[in-house]
Amino acid sequence: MKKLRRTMLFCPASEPKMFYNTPVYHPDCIIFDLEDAVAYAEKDSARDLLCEAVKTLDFKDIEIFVRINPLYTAFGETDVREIVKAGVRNIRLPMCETAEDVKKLEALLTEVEKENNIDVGAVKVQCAIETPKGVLNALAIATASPRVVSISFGAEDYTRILGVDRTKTAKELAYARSYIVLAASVANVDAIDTVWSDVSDIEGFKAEVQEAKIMGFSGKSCVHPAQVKEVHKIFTPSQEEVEKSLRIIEAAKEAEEKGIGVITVDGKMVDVPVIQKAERIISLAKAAKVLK
Amino acid sequence: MVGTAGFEREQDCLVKVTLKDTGGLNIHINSKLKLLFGKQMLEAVKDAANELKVENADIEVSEFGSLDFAIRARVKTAIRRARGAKYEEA
Repeated sequence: MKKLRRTMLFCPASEPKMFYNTPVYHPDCIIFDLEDAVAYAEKDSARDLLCEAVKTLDFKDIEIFVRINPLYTAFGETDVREIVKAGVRNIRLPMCETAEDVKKLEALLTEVEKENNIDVGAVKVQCAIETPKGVLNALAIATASPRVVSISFGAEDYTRILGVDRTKTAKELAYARSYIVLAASVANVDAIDTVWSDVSDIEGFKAEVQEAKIMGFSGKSCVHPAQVKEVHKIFTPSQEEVEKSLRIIEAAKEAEEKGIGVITVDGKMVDVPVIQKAERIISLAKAAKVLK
Repeated sequence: MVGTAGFEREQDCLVKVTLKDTGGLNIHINSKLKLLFGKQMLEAVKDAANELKVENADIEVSEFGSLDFAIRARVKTAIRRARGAKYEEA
């Protein structure tokens, strides 16, 4: 069954209580952050906390990612070596701009896996695309390695480099978001939308999440636990969608048994793309446990 | 060589490690929960020290409701800092 990544909740790796409080909100994924959320003087202690937490705590079916420091920093390589040894199997690579960035991480991961008797390829990668250059290289990044499972848009650095402000309408992000969705689709990986930083504006957040869903994103990065529930509501098929999809699949099955080529459901023509969309909705509903 | 790690805050602990050449491990734990969980706290400290092959050190732990993994992590960080590890070294 396809892994659900509707929500990817960022969590600083700098405080012990974060490791066991954050799973309470049941995001699909947690991104423990060793990068921007951690002060320079505490990079070493955050890494130690993360490694001990991963070895000890049971996160059940929540998928754990770790945002490492960039490999060109003093911390990046040690982050990778220590966290993989501790059991981390998903890494978020920040500021990914080229396929070469992915390949550098891939080479390091292969070395670390071999040193630690871990199956080569076991550690997967999410590439954070946060710059205009990264956006234009999104397809090359997404297809750079079989380890890549998703590409994730980061609007804060993107708009900073472009020299524009982030707005509630998000017009300044339109091209980047669309292109990332397309690239992810071609590469058959997940596309994760950028964070919404104004945690007090829930209505604005919901509108952006709805738009992300319509555009084709698989999920959304979250910076506050309150955002998780809202994203799940929007990204989970509704009762109505599920029932309609079941009717379509049932009708298609009957038609195939009777040798009928064209069918209608609820007065609308149903052809192969419609049937496949219905199957996708059922698959999502099962993964989200709203359908057995 | 002395290293400290952690913070005096809820669900965390503050660890001070003084590395020595002899004398074995001298561990002192200051905690309101020492009566109930002192044994587990001591084991966590010893585990961390053993893993980093520290045989001689004074280790002071002031803990504020932290779980074992946090104690282990803070002890390891304090040991590495005591050894004068630069940020890029494990």
